[in-house]
Amino acid sequence: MSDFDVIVVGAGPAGSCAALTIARTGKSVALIERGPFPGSKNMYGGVVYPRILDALIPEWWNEMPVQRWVTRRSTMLLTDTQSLSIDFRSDAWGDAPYNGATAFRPDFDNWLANKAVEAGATLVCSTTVTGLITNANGAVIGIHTDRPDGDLTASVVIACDGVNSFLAKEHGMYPHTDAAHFTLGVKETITLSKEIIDERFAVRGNQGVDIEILGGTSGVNGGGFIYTNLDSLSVGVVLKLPKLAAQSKRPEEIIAGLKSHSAIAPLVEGGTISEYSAHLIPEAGLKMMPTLLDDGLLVAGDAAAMCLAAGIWLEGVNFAMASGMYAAQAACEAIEKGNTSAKGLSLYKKLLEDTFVLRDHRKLRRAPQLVLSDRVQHMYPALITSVVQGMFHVNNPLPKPGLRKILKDERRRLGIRTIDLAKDAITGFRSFG
Amino acid sequence: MTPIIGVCVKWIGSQPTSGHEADARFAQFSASDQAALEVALQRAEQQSARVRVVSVAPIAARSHLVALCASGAHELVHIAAEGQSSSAHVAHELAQHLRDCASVWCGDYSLDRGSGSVPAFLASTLGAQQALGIVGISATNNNSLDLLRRLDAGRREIVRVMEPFIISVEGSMATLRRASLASTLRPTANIIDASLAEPSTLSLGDFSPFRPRPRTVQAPAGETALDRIKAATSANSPQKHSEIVTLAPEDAAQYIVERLTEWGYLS
Repeated sequence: MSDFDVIVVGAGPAGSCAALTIARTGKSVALIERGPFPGSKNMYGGVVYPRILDALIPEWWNEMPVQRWVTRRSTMLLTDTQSLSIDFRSDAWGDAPYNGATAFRPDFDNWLANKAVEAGATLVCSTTVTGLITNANGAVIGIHTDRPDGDLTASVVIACDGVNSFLAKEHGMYPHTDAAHFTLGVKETITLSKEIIDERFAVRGNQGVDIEILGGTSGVNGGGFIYTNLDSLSVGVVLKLPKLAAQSKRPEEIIAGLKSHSAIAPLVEGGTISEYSAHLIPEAGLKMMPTLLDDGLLVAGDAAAMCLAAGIWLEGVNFAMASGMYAAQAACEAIEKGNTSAKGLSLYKKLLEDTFVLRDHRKLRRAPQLVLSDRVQHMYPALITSVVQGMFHVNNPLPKPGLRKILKDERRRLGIRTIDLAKDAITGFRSFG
Repeated sequence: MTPIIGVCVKWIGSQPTSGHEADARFAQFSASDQAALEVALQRAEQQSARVRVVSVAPIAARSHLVALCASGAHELVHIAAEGQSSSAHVAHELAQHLRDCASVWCGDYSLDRGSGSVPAFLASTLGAQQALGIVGISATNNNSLDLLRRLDAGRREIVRVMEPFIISVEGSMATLRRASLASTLRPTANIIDASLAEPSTLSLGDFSPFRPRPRTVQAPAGETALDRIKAATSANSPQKHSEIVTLAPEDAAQYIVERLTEWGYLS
């Protein structure tokens, strides 16, 4: 007899959605969290797209702890002296049922975990899972923790233990790991008054802004971001690990460089840095995904590399919540059928394949590599901004040059080969088209 | 009858800051409160005693108190109280649940850095001996303990206390053991709920901190500012370090009174 029907490791978005789903079926579930409370790690700086919560918490927007609803999305290209922004605003995103929101994870995760507890899950905090218990056949039947007398058994274990999952690695589900599959997200939380943020970012009330930046990372492949919270900004960079390691600048220097750019400085000046944090992000999509299930074990969330980093789409929490929910549904079905082997848990894979979780990853499988390539990172921003500058620069008495000539001249100046441009265009069209 | 060792702890929720409410997620017990519980648990093991944790705390503290007791306490007395109460009143309420304890262990500070006077009021209410700033136990006898007490400037002294006693320990004395997973999942401490009684109308009189009266001191003499600073700070005078005096107790008391009078602390 097991201690619980299911043990969920990690009370992040994936783990809490899994525990909530299981608890609602009446099965016993333990939600084990390493921190003193869910979300205590507090390293997130992004936008949550909670549409998937419609299935779990009707009208979640009435109670979810939100900083601001994102009603403006900007994509910004930066070179050392230029910037080009494509700015989109939708008033519809500022009303129910909303689209995305900035949120503080200590609030968001705690709220979601409490939903699971209210449904009957047992939350155990300040407890680190140190390993898996397996039977003679290698099937997972429980966990070891760092507490005295700390073993727990269950019919199914769902590992939602975050990026660099020790449990999935211990069980051999990551056949190979490569530093190139990860980026380092580095974030500063900069305190500014709500009035100043509203004025600088042209928003009102609880409207918020999401700015994604290509360039501005001191030559390291990656990107930057600015998100508006109620009375603070999340400003940071995401840096490709091998490129970061190959040069001498530290991440905080790269953020400082971004903040001093003429397009960014007016947005952040006068603010006080109240937090600084860094965290690995699994950005290689399908290429790095582990085996998702085994006998008695399912892997979900960042632990399963369920993070979509495809340039114009940067999403993780929604993929985590969905994968946690589907893992729970698969675990419940397997327990009811009395078969928690990999075959019995295979509904998980089917649910992922049938929904956006793996469909988006499959469609955009080439996108992460394209977005982080040297040409997209360094040459194309320079090409695009130079072409735009050529278009708008008035050089009388010379007549206006044609767009085709500007493009040709700039492409030549930057040494971009036509064949590379064509190849990347095809890859981009296949991914985003 | 199984002896009972009492432990008093103070739960401190996060302080409300401008625009933000207090948040129970950041609530804690001080390291010295945790050390007090650990010492009590160790002594309970030696004496086959039971450990009773008593706390005056708001309802929001309940899960934290239960989690603390999962380390091995046998009983939890939670005296529910939402507002602030005087140290004397808190001690009076704690004492109602500690009268059958031969020893009571407290932390020597709480996270809100309160007055630290509850153990003293408790000792007074229970008619028990009291020792503060304890960093170790140097000897154990039948009904007494020799305790190592911290003094200023890195000095230590050994004090002997006889049961019943109230001891305040420093956080460095012990690290609270981790609760087992089983006791975390299924707390076994017997929980006794109580509520804070209205404070007694009996006045204990007015208390105020002792502050010596100001004295008139001659302005320092000297030609230059530097000379006057030297004179004011006695920088040129021969330094008088601490002196060791060996006297009979009565003479020692007289000596101390004379010195305090000389220094202006007693008139």
